[in-house]
Formats: sequence, C-alpha cells, structure tokens
Amino acid sequence: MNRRHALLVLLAVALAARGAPGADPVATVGSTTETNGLERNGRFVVRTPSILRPGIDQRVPPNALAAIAQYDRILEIPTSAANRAEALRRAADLRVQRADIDGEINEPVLRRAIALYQALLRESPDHPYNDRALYQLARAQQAVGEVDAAIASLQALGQRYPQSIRTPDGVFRAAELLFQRNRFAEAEAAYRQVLALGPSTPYFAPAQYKFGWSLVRQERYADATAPFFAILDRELPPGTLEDSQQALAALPPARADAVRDVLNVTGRALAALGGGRGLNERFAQAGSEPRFATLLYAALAAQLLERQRHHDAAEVDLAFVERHPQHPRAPEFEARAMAAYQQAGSAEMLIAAKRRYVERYAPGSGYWGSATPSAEVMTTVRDSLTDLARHHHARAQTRADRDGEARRRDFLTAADGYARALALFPDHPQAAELALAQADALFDGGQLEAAARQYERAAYALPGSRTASQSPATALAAVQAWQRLANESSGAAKSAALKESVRASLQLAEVFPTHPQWALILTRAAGDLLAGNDPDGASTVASRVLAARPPAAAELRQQLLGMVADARYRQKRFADAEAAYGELLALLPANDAQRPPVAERLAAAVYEQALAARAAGDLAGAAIAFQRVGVRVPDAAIRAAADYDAASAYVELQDWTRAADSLEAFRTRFPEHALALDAEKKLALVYTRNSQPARAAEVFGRIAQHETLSTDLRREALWLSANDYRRAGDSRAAALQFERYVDRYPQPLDQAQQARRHLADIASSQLRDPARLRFWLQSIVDADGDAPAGPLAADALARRIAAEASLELGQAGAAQASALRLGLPLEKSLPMRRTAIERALRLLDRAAAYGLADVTTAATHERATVWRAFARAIVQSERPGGLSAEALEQYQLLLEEQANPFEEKAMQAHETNLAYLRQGVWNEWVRKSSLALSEIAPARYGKNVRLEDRYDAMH
Amino acid sequence: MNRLLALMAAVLLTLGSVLTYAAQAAAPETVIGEALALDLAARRLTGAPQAGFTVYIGSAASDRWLREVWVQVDRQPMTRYLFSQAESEALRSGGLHLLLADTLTPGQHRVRAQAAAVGLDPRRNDDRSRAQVEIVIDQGEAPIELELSWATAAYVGNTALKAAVRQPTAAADPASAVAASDPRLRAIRFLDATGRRYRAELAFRQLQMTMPSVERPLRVTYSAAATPASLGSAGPCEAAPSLSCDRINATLGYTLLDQSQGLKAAEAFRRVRAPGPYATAALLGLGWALLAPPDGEAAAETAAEQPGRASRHPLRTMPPKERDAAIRAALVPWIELIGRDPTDPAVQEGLVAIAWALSTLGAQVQAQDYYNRAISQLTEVLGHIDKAKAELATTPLLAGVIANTPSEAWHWYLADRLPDPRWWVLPISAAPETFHLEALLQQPAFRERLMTLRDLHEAKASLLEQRARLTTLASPDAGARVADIDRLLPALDAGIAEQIGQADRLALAQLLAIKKQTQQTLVEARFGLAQLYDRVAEVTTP
Repeated sequence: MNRRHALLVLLAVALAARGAPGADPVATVGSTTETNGLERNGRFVVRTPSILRPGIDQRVPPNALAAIAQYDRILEIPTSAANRAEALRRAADLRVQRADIDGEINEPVLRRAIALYQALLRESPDHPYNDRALYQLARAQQAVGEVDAAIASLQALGQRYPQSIRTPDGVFRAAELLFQRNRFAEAEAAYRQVLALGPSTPYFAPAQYKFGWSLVRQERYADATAPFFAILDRELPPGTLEDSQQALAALPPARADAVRDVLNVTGRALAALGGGRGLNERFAQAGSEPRFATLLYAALAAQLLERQRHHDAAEVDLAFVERHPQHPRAPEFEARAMAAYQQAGSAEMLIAAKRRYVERYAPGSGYWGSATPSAEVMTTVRDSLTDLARHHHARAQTRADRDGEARRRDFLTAADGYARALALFPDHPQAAELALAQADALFDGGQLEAAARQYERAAYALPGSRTASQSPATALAAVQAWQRLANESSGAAKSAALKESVRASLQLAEVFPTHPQWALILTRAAGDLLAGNDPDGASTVASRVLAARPPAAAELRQQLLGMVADARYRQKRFADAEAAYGELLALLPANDAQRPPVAERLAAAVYEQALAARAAGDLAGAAIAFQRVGVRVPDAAIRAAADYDAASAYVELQDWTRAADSLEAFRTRFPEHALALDAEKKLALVYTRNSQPARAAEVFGRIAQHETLSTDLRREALWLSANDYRRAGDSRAAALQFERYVDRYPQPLDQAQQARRHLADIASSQLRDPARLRFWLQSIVDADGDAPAGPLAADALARRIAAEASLELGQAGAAQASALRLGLPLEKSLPMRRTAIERALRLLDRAAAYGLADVTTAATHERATVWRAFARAIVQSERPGGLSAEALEQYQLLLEEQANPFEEKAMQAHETNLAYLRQGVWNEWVRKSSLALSEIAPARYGKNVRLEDRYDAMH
Repeated sequence: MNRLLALMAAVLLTLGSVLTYAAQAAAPETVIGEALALDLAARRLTGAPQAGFTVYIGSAASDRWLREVWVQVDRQPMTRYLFSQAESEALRSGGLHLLLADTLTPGQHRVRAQAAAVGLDPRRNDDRSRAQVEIVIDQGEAPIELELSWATAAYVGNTALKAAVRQPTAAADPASAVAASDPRLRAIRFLDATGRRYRAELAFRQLQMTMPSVERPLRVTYSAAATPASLGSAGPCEAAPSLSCDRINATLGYTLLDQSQGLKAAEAFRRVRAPGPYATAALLGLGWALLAPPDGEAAAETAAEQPGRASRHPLRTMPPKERDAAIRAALVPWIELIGRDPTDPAVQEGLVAIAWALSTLGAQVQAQDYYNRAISQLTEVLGHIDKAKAELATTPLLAGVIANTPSEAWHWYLADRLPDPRWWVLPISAAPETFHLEALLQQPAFRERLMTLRDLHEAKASLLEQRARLTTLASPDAGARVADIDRLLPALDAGIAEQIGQADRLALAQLLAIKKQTQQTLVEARFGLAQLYDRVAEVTTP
C-alpha cells in the first residue's frame, strides 16, 4: 500500500517537473543537483548512485604500516609546514609504537623515526607536540643505542618543557641513562631535578636512591650518606634496630631487597669515609647515632668483606666492640672480625684477635661478670686456644733453621697451648690428638726426652691408647725421639739415650708385633746395640728378626746379616764372620752398592785368618790362607798384600816352585803394585836359588830395565842377566845382554872389557865367527887405547885382557903373513909378505908392551917365529925357470944370503925371550924359544935349560 | 576561494614573465615592421608578377564548417588544403582563402574542385558532407578570378560547391559594397582572422599600392571573439546569464561560505550555469554550503588549517543524524565532480571531500576506496605533469610552428596537439603530453607569444623568398636590399628564439601551478587515508 502510494507521488512529481513553465531553461548547478539523489519526504527522487548509499559501520582496521606509508609519501611531497610537521610526527610516532608492540628493536625503523623526529624539531621548533616528540625521540635513540643522543633529547625535554607531563619521566630517564654512562655529575643534577618535583612524583623514591648512588660514584660519600640515611629511616621498621635480618624480615620482600641494597651502598660509602673508625668518629661528633646504627656497622663490614677488604671489615667489627664493649652482640662482632682476618689470610691479625678473644671471653673474664658464658662463645674460646697452639706449632714448623731459638720457643709455646687446652677442656674430643700435637711440639722444640716420654704416654699410657689407631705411629715417634736424642747427645748421655731407644724399640716390638715397621725398628735396635759395643745383644736381636716369619724384607735381611757378620768379626770369630759375609754376599744383587764393602769385609776376615796362622807359626797354612783371599774375593783391595804375603811365606819355606808361581802370578796381576819390584827381586832370587839361570837371567833383564832403580843396580842386574844367560848356555841372549852392557856401561872398564872378552869368546867358540871375534878383540884393544896409559892396579884385569887381545890379533896377523907364498915375480910378492909381517909385528909389539911376562914372551916368540918363517920362505921361494944348475946354485946362494938377516932377527927374538929366564920367567913361550934356538943354533943352544923341570913343577 | 587565489597567482606570474620580456626585448614589433617595409621594398624591385589565374574559396553555409578542399587545373597536380577550426570559422564569417595563384596559358582550361564540410556539433562524427564542381574557363589576356563557395543548396540538408568566375577590379571605392566583397579584402580578413597578421598586413599594403584608398578590414581574431566582455558592461544575470555572471556567483558563493552564510552561499552556487567554466567550483562550494552554518552562526570547526582535516570551510554544529543527512546532501553535488578534469582544483578537492564525507559517515571501507582513487588519480596527474615538464625541457613547445613553411597549414601543429576531451582517463602514453595546452591557449600572454612568433616566422619566410628573387637581379638596389635583408635576418631569428623561450616559460609556470595544486590535494588525500589507518592509534596517544 505504501509502495503504491509512493509510486504515485513520484509520478506526479515527475510530471510536474516536466511540465514546469519556461521553455529551454538554462542548466545550472542548482538544476543539475536538484533531483540528483535528493530525497523528499524520506524517499529518493531518482535512482541513487551507489556512492550515496554509504556502507555505515564498515570499519577499516587500524594499520600502522599503511598509515606510515601514507605519511612517508606525504613527506615526499612539497607541502605546508603544518602538514609536514604532522606527517613527520605521526610517521615517527607510529614507528616507535610499532617497535613497542613488536618488542623487537627494528633498528632501521627506529633510525627512520629518529630522523623524522629530528626533522620535525628542526623544521617546526614550536610545534605543540614537541615535548612528546622529544620524549619519543629519546626512546628511539635509546633503543638503537644512541644513548648520549637520547640523554640530550631528554635533557632538552626537561629544559624546554618543564611543565610537560612527560618531564618527570623524561628527566628521570635522562638521569638513569647518564648514570649508566657513568656521567654521574650530570646524573646527580638530573636526579636532583626529579627530587625537586617533590615526593608526589612516582620517580621520587628511585631518584633519591640513585641520587645517592650518583654521589657515591663521584666518591662524594659524605654527601651520599644523607639520602641513604633518609631512605633507611623512612623504609626500615620503627624502633631501634640491632639485627639486619630481623629488620629486613619485617618488611615485604621487594622493599626488603631495596633496603638491603641501600644498606649495602651505605656501607660502601661509609667504607670510603674511613670505615669503622670513621663511623665511630662520626657518631661521637654527632653525639648520637641513628636507630639503625648497628645495621650500619654490619652493612659496612659486609660491604668491606665483599670487596675483599677483610682487614677493614674486621676493623669495623672491632670499632663496634670498642664503642659498645658490653653489647650483647660484641662477641659476635669479635668473632666476625676473626673470620675476616681468616678470610684475609692475615694470620698475625687473626692470632692477635684470637688471643684477644680468649682473654676477653674465656670463662671468668670481666665481660661475663656473674653470667655464664654461652656455649657458642665457649666453643669459640676453645677453638681459639687450640688454633693459637696450632698457629705457634705451624709457625715454628715454617721457620727457617737459622731461627733456631725462635723456632724452639714457638714449639714450646704451642706445647704449652695444647697443655692449656687439655687442662681447660679435659673432655676435649680431640684430647689424644692434642696430646700427640703437644708431644710433636715438644719434640720439635728440642725437649726430646719430654717429647719421647709424652709420645710413650700417648702411645701406651692414655686410656685406650694401646688400641688407638695412631698409637703404633706414636710409639714409633717415641722411638724416633729417643734416637734423635741419642744422635744429638754424646758420651754417657748418648749411651743412655741409645739404651732408651733400644728399650722403646723392644717395647714397641713387644706391644705392637704387627707394627708395619717392626722389623725395621728392631734392625735399628740391633744396629744401636752393635754401635753400643754389644755385639752379643745385636746378634741376638738381628737373629730374631732374621728368624721372623714372614721373613723381613730382603734389604733388612741384608742389613741384619751384615750386623751378624760384623758382630762375629768384632768377636774375632773370623771364620764365622767369613761365612756370614759370604751368606750376605750371596743375597746381594750383582750390582748392589753394598757388595764391594761387604766383599772387602769378607776378604779382611780371610786375611785375618792367614795372619793368625802365620802368627801361630803355621807358614804353610798361612800361605794357603793368604792365597784364599784372592780366591774368595778376587778383586779385594788387600789381595795384593795377601798374595805377596803368600809368596813371601813360600820363599821363607824355600818352596821355590810355589814361590815362583806365586810371584809370577803377583807380577802378572799387579804389575804396577808398589811391591812389584820387590817381587821381581824375590823371583830372581828364587830362580837363582832354584838353578834356573835362564829364568833368572830373564828376571834380571827386567830388573835392569827398571828405571826407578839406581844405575849401579841396573848395571849389576844386566851383568847378572848376561852371565846367567851365558851360564844357561843361551849364547845369543847372553851376547845380546853383554852387548847391551858394553853399550850402556863402558865403565868400570874391567867389567866392560870382560864383557867384550865374553863376546869375543862367544864369537869364537859358539858362533865361530872370526870376523866378530876380530871385531871384539879389536874393540878390546880400542877400549884400552882409550884408557889412561900407565900401569894401574885397578886396571890390571883390563890390561891383561887388552894385552891378550893384542897378542891374539898379532898371532892371527902373523899366521896370515906366513900363509903368503913367495911366488914369482919375487919383487912383487915379497913386499906384500913383508908389509903383512910388519902389521903383525906392530900388534905383537903392542901386546909385549903391556909388560905382562906371559904375553910378552908369547909375543916375542911369535915375532921370532915370523922372522924365521920369512927367512925360510925366501930360501924356499919359487925358482925362476930355465936356470942352469950353476945359476940355480948361485940363485940358491943369493937367496940364502938374503934370508940370513931375517934368520938373525928370529934368533935375536928368541934370545930376547930366553933373556926373561934371567928375570925368573919361565913359561911355555920361553921354553919354545929355547927349543927354537937349539934348533936354529944347536951349537950355541943345543942343550935343554936345566931349570925347565923346576919351572914346570912350579907351574 | 583558495583555488581562485591560486589561479590569480598563476595569472599574475604569467603576466609578470610577459612584462619582464617586454622590458628586455621590445623589439619584435619593430623588427616585424622593418621586415615588412623591407619586404615591400623588395617586392617593388622584383615586381612580383600578377597572377593570371587566382582561385579563392569561401563558405556561405552557416551550419557547416568547411574542412577540406581540392582543386585541379587540367592535369596539373592537385592542390589540397585542410582548414583548422579557426580557418573554418574565418571562412564562415566571410573570409576567403587564396587557394591558388597561377599563370595559365591562354585558352580553355578545365578546373575540378571538391570540398568537404562537417556539422557544427563536434560530438557528431557522422555529420560529414562532400560537394564538387567542374568548370571550363577561358583564359585570355586579362586575369581571371575563380571563387569557390560552399553553399547550402535549395533543399534542406543538401549542400553544393558553387564556382564564380570574374575579372578582378583594379580600383574600387572603398566604401562600396564591391570593395567590401573584394576577394582580396576578404582574403585579408581571412588572414587576419586566422592570425596570419604579417601576411594580412603585407597583402593589405600591396593592395594599397593598387588601391590607395582601400581601408584595412576590421581585425576580428579568434582571441578577440573568445575574450569575455568586461564585467561592468554585462547585463542583469537573471535575464541573460553569462560567463561573468557565473564568475560572480561562484565568487559570491565562496565569500558567503567563508562568512558561514550557508543558505545564501548555496543559492549563489546553484545559479552558476552547468556546464560552464565555473560549474565545478560551484558544485564543490554547494556541497560545503550545505554543511556550513546556515546563517552566520559560529562554526563547529574553525577554518584554521589543521593538517589532515579535509574541510577548510566552516561546518555547523549538528546532531549526528542531521549531520549524516547534511553530508549525504553535500555528496550530491560532489559526485558530479567525479570523472571531470583532474587538473581542475575544484575537481581535485571534490575527490578528497567525497572520501572525507564517507569516512565521516562511518563508511570507512568506501572512504578508503575513494581516498585511494583520489591518490591514484592525482598521482597520475603528477605523472602527466612530470612527463610534460620533461618534454618541455627537451623540445620547445612551439618548435613545430616554425618547422613548416607559413604557407602550409602550420596551425594544425597546435590543433593536432590539443588533448583528448577525456585525456585523464587514458594511460600515460608515449605521445607528447598536451593536457595543459588548452588552458595555455586561453592565456592572452601565451596567445600573444604565439602570434608574434607566427609574425616573425612569416616575415622571415617572406624575406627569404624576396631575397632569392633579388639575387637574380643585377641592379645595385637589389644588392642593397639583399644586404638589408641579411642584416635583419639575425634579429628575426633572435626574435623567434625569444618567443619560443617565452612560450615555454609560460607553459612551465602553468605546469608548476597545476603541480603545486595537485600535490596539495594529494597531501590531503594521503592524510585522509593515513588517518583512516591511524585512527585508533591516534586516539590512544594524547
């Protein structure tokens, strides 16, 4: 119905419009828009474009990115300052908001925002939203790390817009950032600016706290205490406060944390203001202290402790005690001071503090009055006492040896301390340990006897000590104390201490048979007994250990065997000692260092047996025993002596063979030995005595080369060697030695000429070497020729030898001359023979010249013989061929005539010889000359000399 | 109001540049005058031969624009001419176009002519007609004039091409009707009407030589016809609405709007004719007037410039329901602006106002759509502007004017360049940007530069033609004239360059003015869109 009505109206209106008067009306804005979408009576007149039916409540969701994009685009377009400012502001704001929402720092975005804000502030310095822009700018700058720039922005906010609602927040943030940047003076000013806004601002409390902090960081500690005290006074529970924990426990946790922080930093400030002394002075000057003063002391000390300033912390605690000596927490503060010293590792201070603590709070001190000390304090006193003793003990132990006296004093002080602790607290749970410590201190303090007795007490006497685990060690300590006492004593005291040591050892062995060092201790005891000249006792103890099962360690067994052997030796039971040493040696490993000395001891034991046999007159037994030294201990030091002694014994026994063997062995084994030469001499003697000239010659030869001997001895030895060789029939060796002799020892001449004579004889008889014979004969002659002329009694032998040599040479020359045949042509052969005769005659003359009757006569006889033979040779010389008988006769006559003078000379010579008869000389040669004369001139000399028989008989 | 101020500023800027030019180089008229004198002197020496056979064409039909004509004599090459709108109008107002001036051998000649014309309604592309005529002339000793004329035929809708042959008169009484209809005078009128001032003056001076008493026809130019009559001389707007009335009403409307006289302002805006040059401004103002306080009371929002607020005009305090209704009412004139020339300030503001209105109504999705459309369109306009600027920087706007010889239809150069009627809906193409040309041609200063350029160009061409003839003569006078011409040519060239540069500067100034306006609107659109997105965030922050 309504719709139809509407249509009718519409139609009517339309018709009316068409029928309006006024032809061809001018089209205007009015006519164009009149019917266009306008509604009348709630109806549209014509069809409405869709745009005129807006979709209400079609919301576009907020889209910061899209908005930013638009603002950014606006900024690209030149436009009015206001537009630009607005676009800058929103483009920046939205970016910062996005960063807030995202929670991530999108640095490029924030940097863009910063640039935008900066552009806004630069281009529109009076923009009404610039306080917000500065604030947001700072946020963005901080977010990208441009903290200084952020600070500057926030400071600008505070300066330019003091009334802005953002200013408190902004300035506080600036202060915080400045603080973070360590720009404390500026931070202080900014915090002060916030504080100036009054307590109503929510930033007041944090600003006050940080204000104090910024003063602290500027080291303006005195200024800083004011805000901190104010905070503490405000925040802490009411009333006087003695205990931080209690006070803080009364606060809500968050506030308690804050107050704890303030207490900490206040402590830090107070620490810088002179620590405990400073605080005392401050309160003394003020005449009063805040109600939380005790907390301040505690905080200060805690702060100092935290900064490792233990001494200062302790000083604070002590300062508190000083100001409040009777304060119920005084022992606690004292204890804390000790703890601080301990943490500091400040032993001296700690000890001093402990000493003081003991003095102040030990039972009966003034602090307690009639009150009973608390268990806690008692424990501390006891521990302090013990610690003091231990301190002295430890200090003594660390002292250098040169601080002997101080060291000793410390040990004794420690011992006293232990004793005091034991006395004060008899039920001390560590009584045994303290007793032991006391003994140790005594020991180290040089009170060895007291220490030893304290050890023995601790080991045996204290209740239950025999079963206590440390007792064996303590017992050992006692033994060691005695031993040390013995070491450091002398004379009777030493003996006494040793006896105590042995006693203690035996006691230990008795009480603790399973002591791990049982065998060792007894071994030591055996040693001590031996040292104490009690070989019997030592032997007994040692044997006991050796017999123990399980057997003692090899090393100990060796020691014990050694002791047993030594004891036997000491008892002069050398054969037993030899057996014991032998046993010991068998135990020792091949490379054991003990082997050589033990072997020496063994050799000594054997040697001692040999000596004993010799002393008893049993030379043979002694010789065998001496030799056994080398058998048992081939490389013993005394072996040389033993071997020599053995040889000597054999020599003495005239057992040449064994003696020679021994000496030869000695000589070979010890060629460098001091007795080697003596051994050689003995050996020469032995060979000589045993008729072994060759061996003797050899030995003499060696002796002759011994350069340490005198020249005479060596010459004598060489002479003996040559003669022994000669005697032994070894011509060559003899010749060699004689030649050596002649060569080395031309004087004395007698022996030298004898040697040459021997050489000549050897050449003649043994070697059959005429040339050598002649050489040596000539050598004799030459040696004599060199000798001083004149008849010397001393040289008699030598002259004779020389004379005989000349004679022999002359005889040889004569024989040679006589062998020359006078052949044709005579004038040639005759002078040759004559020259040979004259040479022989010169030698014969020389022999005759010595004036020795037999030689002279032999020479003269030879002279006569030469001339006679010459004469005969002339007569019987070869006849030229073709001579007639007459001529031959004539020639015969001529020859006889020529030979006659030589016949005469022969006669004269014989006559000369015969003339010696008158001097009482009658010998073979005289006789031969007389025979020759009788043969030559029978008329004159044809009768025998009547004295011939007499002379023969006399010869 | 602001848009008007902006426009005035642009005009002042343009005038300023013109004045600056005048002070610097007042020479063009002098140079042209010298050229003309020289041209005439040269022509006296060369004794330009009198053509034996002359063909004119004109139009006698008032309902048609003559567009094209072809003429062929015997088997000689065909002569063809295309008429610009201005030339068509000049023909329609009695001008004659000298189509052909030739010398024919004595005897008979066959002349064929054909013409084409279109209807007056430019929106009708099918209203096109053709006519042709063929005659035989007998060329004797005396010159012959042939006048072709497009005429409406006897029966309705038919047209015909008429040909009239006669002999030119040597001297005529200027006051006589004969003189007034003298083809030579009508040809001068045609040249005057089509802006070929130099050629017209030259023709008139030459005619004066043969007819000393002849008078210069009244100069009726296109620009003179387009210039509105001054404000004071206008009749009552109620009786005879005019452009001036529209301007007065639009201006009045904005003044009243600023005074919060919403009702009166709306009335003033409604009186503005539509379509018309002031229609867009009035449509926009009407919308705002419907939202303004009706009768001078205080506005809910001040006109203070607040960034991102679309409304620059006072808004009245209204309950939400009434406000919504008022906005819907305002949307009615505003949607008329959609699709119009986006360089128009009113159209631009309308784009933003529509989006703002939708947003205010709560239709945010639509508002977003319209903001985006506005942004897109304005951005595209800026693209056109930038392209135009770039082209201007590389190619002088009027380079084509002097590229052709003046005798050819050089005016097509500009005609061809006029933009498509709805160029803004087309994408930016490779073709040169010309959207600003129409408005530029409306500027008297620009038109003056164009005319002066044509004069200089024509003078130069004419002098060069005379110089070529003078060089064939051996007389000393001819040599002296050649020297004179050579001396003057550089001044002509300088003048040409100067005019081209001036025109470019005017074009650039206009482009920049449009750009600034467009950018301003674009900023507003973007603010509006940004605030759609930014809305919640803005609320949460103080």
